[in-house]
Amino acid sequence: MILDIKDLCVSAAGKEIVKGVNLKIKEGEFHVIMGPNGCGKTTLAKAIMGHPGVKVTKGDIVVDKQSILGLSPDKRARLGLFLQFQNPVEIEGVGFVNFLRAAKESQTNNTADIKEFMGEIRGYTEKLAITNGIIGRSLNHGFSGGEKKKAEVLQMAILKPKLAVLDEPDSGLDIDAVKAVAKNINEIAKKEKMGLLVITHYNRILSYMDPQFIHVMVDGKIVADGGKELVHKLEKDGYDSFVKAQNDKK
Amino acid sequence: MPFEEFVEKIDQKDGRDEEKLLADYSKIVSENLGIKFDYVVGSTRNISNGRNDFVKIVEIGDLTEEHLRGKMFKNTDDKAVAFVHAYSRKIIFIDVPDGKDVDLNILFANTDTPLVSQVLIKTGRESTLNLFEWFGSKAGSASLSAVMHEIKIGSYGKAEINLVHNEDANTQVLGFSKGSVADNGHLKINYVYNGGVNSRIKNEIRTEGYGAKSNVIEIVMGSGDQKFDLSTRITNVGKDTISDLESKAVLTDKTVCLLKGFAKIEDTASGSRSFVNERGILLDKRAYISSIPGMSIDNSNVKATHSSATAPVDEELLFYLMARGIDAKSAQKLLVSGFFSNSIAKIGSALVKSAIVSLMNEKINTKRFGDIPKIDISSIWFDPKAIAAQGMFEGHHKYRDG
Repeated sequence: MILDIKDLCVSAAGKEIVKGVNLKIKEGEFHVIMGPNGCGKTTLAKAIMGHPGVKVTKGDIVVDKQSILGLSPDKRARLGLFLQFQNPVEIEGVGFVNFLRAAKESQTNNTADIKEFMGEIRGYTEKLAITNGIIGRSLNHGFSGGEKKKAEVLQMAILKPKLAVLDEPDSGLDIDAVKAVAKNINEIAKKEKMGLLVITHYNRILSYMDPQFIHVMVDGKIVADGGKELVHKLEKDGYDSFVKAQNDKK
Repeated sequence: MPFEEFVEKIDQKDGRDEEKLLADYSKIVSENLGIKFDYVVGSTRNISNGRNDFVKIVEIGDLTEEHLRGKMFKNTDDKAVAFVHAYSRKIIFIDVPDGKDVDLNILFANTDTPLVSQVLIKTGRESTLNLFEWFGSKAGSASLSAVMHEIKIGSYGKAEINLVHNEDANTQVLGFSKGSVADNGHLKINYVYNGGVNSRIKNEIRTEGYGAKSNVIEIVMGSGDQKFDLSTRITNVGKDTISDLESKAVLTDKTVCLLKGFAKIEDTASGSRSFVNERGILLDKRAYISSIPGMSIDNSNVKATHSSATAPVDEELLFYLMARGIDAKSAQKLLVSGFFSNSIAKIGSALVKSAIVSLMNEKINTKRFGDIPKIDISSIWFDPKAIAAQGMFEGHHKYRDG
C-alpha cells in the first residue's frame, strides 16, 4: 500500500488546522511526525481515517493511486488503514472480543474460527503483558490509560492493517509498558510489512524503535524532514527554533 | 384508542377455524425461537400442549365469584380497564401452590378478531414461577391485542415474568398490570415492546410485605410510525422493601415513545430503596422520546433516586467502530446491543434472552416487527462481572462510595 497525502488542508469546527501537508508512505516504511501541542497532528490522523468532525478543504488523500476522500471510515479500514486512537472511547456493553471479532470478520468477509481467534488474542495479551482480563470486559470500559493503549496495539496485531497511524502510542504508559508497546509495534510491523506513521510529542518511545523518516509539524505544516538525527536535535533544542522560524515566515 | 371500532369485531361470531391458524403460528414461533409453548391462546380457541395442573383457562360464562377473588383492577381505574373487563372472553388463572416451582410458556396469538385477555397470577409461599408470554398477531385489518395482568406474589415467593409484545403493524396494543409482593417475596417483570402500531401500557407494582422486592425492566424498540405510551408506577409500602424500574428505548424513523416511570415511597416504607432509570437512544432525527421519571417520598429513612438520559448515537463511538472496518449498520447494531445488554442479562431464562436479542437484531436489520425472526444472537455480549457488580445505586453519584 502507498499512502500519498497531497497538499492537504483540513479544518475542524470551522478553523483551519492542517495547512498543506505533503507526505508519502510506502509499504514497510516507518515515518514519525513530531510536533508541539495543537500543531495539527491528531487532526491529520483523523482526516486520514475519515472522521466526520474534520473537513478536508483542499488537497487529497490517495491510497494506491485512488482518492479515499469519498470513502467512509469502515471502507478506509477495509483498504488496510488503521488508526490507533490517542484517547480510545469506552463502549459499555460491547464486549472487547465480540467487537474485535466483528471487526476481523468485516475485513476478511469470513467467519473467524473462534478457537484460533481466541488463541491469537491470548498470545498478544501475554506479549503485551495485559494482565487485567480485558478480554472479558466491555470495550475500553474501565480500562486504565495504559490498558487502553495496549488494547489498541492488540487490535492492530489482530487486524493486521497495511498501514497504521499511531496517535501517541506512548502517552499514559509507564516505562515498562512503553518498552512492551514499542517492541510489539516493531515486531508486528516487521512481520506484516506494515507501513507505520507514529505521531508523538516525545522521543521516549522512539528510543525503542527504529524509524526511517522523521517529520516535524508546526502550525499545520511539515516544516522539516530528516532521519533519526532530527529526534536528537529536538530532544536537545525542543520545538522552539521550528516554531520561531514558522512565525517569522508569516 | 377507538374501542368502539373493535367492539363490533369482538361481538361477531368468528366462523373461521382459528385453531389451525393458532397451530400454524405457534409452530413458526416455536421453530424459529426454539421455545415450546404450554398454551396457545387465541380469540376464540385455545391449544394446550400438555397438561399443567397449575393453569386454568376459564371462559367468561363459566366464571364464579371464587375465580374473581384475586382481581385487583376496577372498572373505575381506567376507561380501557373497563373495556377489557367488558370484552375479554376468558381469564387465564395461574395458581402456583406453596413450595412449588413452575415454568410456563404461553403464546397469545391474535388474528383479525381482537384478543382481549385477563391473566390472574397467584404464587404461594416459597414458590417459584418462571413465566414467558409472547404476544403476536397476524391481522389482515385493524385489530387489538389487550391484556391485563393481576399478580400476587406470596411471602418468600419468587416470580420472573417476561412479556414480549411482537404484534404486527395492524394491531393496537393495550397492556395493564397490577402486582403486589408479600413479605420477602421477589417479583421480576421484564416487558419488551417491539410490535404493534400503538401501545398504551399502564403498570403498577407494589412491594407490600416486609423486605419485598420488585425489579421492573421495560425495553422498547420502535420503528416506522409506532407509538408507545408507558406509565409505570412502583410503590414501596412495606419496611425494607426494594423497587427498581429500568426503562430503555431505542427508536428509529418517526417513532414516538413516552416513558413515565414513577416511584412512590409510602410513609410505612422505612428503610426502603427505590430507583427509576430511563434511557433512550434516537437513531433518527424524526424519532421522539419523552422521558419523565418522577418520585414521591413520604418517609425520610429511605434511599431513592431517579435518572433520565436520551441522545442520538454518539458519533465518536460510531467512528471508533467504523475505523475498525465495521460498517455503519453493524456498528449501530453493536451499540444498540451494548445499550440493552446489561438489562437483557438480568433476565434469567437463556431462551427468553435469545428471543429478545433476535427480535432486536431483526428490528435493527430490517426495521420490521410482527414477524418471527430466527434465533440470531450474533451481536450480543454480556459482561457477567459488570452485571454482578451493578446494583441500583452504584452508578449514581449520590450513592457512590467515597
